[in-house]
Amino acid sequence: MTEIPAIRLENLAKTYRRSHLGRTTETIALDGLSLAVGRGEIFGLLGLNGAGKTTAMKLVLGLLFPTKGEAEVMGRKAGSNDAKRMIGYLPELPYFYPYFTPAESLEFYAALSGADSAASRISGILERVGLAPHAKKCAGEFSKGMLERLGLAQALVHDPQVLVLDEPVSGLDPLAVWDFRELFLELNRAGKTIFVSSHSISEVEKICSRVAILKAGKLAALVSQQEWKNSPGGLEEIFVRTVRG
Amino acid sequence: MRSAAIIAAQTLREQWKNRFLQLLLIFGGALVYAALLLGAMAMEQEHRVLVNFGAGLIELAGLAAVVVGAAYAVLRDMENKTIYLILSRPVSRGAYIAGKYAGLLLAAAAAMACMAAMHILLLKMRGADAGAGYWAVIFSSWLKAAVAGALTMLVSLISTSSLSALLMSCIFWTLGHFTGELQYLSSRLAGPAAFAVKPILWIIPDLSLLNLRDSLAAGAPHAPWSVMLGYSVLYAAVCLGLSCALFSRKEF
Repeated sequence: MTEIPAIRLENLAKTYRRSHLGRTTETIALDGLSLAVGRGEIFGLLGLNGAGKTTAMKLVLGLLFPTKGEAEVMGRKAGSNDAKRMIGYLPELPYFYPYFTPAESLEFYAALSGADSAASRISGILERVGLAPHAKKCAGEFSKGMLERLGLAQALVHDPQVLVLDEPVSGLDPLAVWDFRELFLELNRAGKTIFVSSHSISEVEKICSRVAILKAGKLAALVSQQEWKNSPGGLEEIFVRTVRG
Repeated sequence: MRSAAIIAAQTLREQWKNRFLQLLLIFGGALVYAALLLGAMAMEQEHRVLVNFGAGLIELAGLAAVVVGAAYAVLRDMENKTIYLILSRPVSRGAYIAGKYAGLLLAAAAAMACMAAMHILLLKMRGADAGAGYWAVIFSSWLKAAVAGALTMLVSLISTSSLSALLMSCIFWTLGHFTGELQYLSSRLAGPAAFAVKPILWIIPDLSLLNLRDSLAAGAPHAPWSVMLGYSVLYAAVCLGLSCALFSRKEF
């Protein structure tokens, strides 16, 4: 029997409709995207701005509704509570209530996910993402890097099987990028599936086993680690060739 | 239900932590003190003016807490994208709306109870008594805030601008105290004018029904509690139901 993929997108399409003064404009963000992310895989989404990376992720999370097609998470319909229970999501530029400490924020998100919000568990997660020294501060005092770390902590707080990470290392300093990469690899070794979008080709190259390159909402190429390792210019050259072609 | 309770508790904590509630208490305290000054100027009617003016200010402060909170609660979460972190979890959109609303009502109840306690203390200091129906008046004010808050939440989801939601709610709140007069006027209208005005009367909350403060002050009879409670619950439920239906179609 074939194993159910961690994430399955089937002919997924999304068209944004905006009405203004009686005129409706349509923007095709995703156009018939089909792909499957295997369990325990680190799968990357690459593409230029507006290629449909964030739209694809939001459709997986149920934050957007598809115009056509379907998405599944671990065999459950995307957007259903069963599917959402299995996902940890880190959005681009996460925001937290400024007067709450990291532990208070994590307790809230753990409770919402139906996970154990015991202090020892929360402090363990803060330790894991490198926020333990800042546990007494409020989120309003946090730098961008610290907010990103807290964003990752809330994505991990309920120990999900699938992590959906939207631009997780954008704007981070090199040390934070290193820490994040090590943590992603460690989580993957523990069996977590990671679905990550990024503009940083070098980062994707270092952690992913496969990469989908999106162009104007369509799947332009599906590249395996072996392919970019065999390519003289690496993944970067494949990406440039694909989006220019 | 569980998710709604967690969101309600978090909303209550947010209201407390962002100092809005503390400011409200200081504001209420200062205004109750102003009521004392007014009372001193009112000579023989001092005690009555003290009670009515203070209760009126508590009602306004409670209303402000709920209406401002309802106008900004959901839209702020949408603007700063914290809603992603909530709705990407196993939380239904209805539970989110219900939780936000319940949290705001709890915060307003706490603020109004504190202000009422301060008011009673000040009245005692002036040798006055709040009267037997005082807490019933405060509760009816809270019911008015609950009705206005539910309407504001609905308007905020339709207008997608906090300021316009606030403005619309203030208009509805003002009109809601004149429903008797509006009904009389509409009964005098005919043709297209009546056709245009009558549906609006269904939307405007009948706050005069919940105006226990004025009824008691005037010694006039007020609506039975079952009617006041039933109307408040029904009006708020319809507004929240419509809010949930609208919100369930929203994309983020």
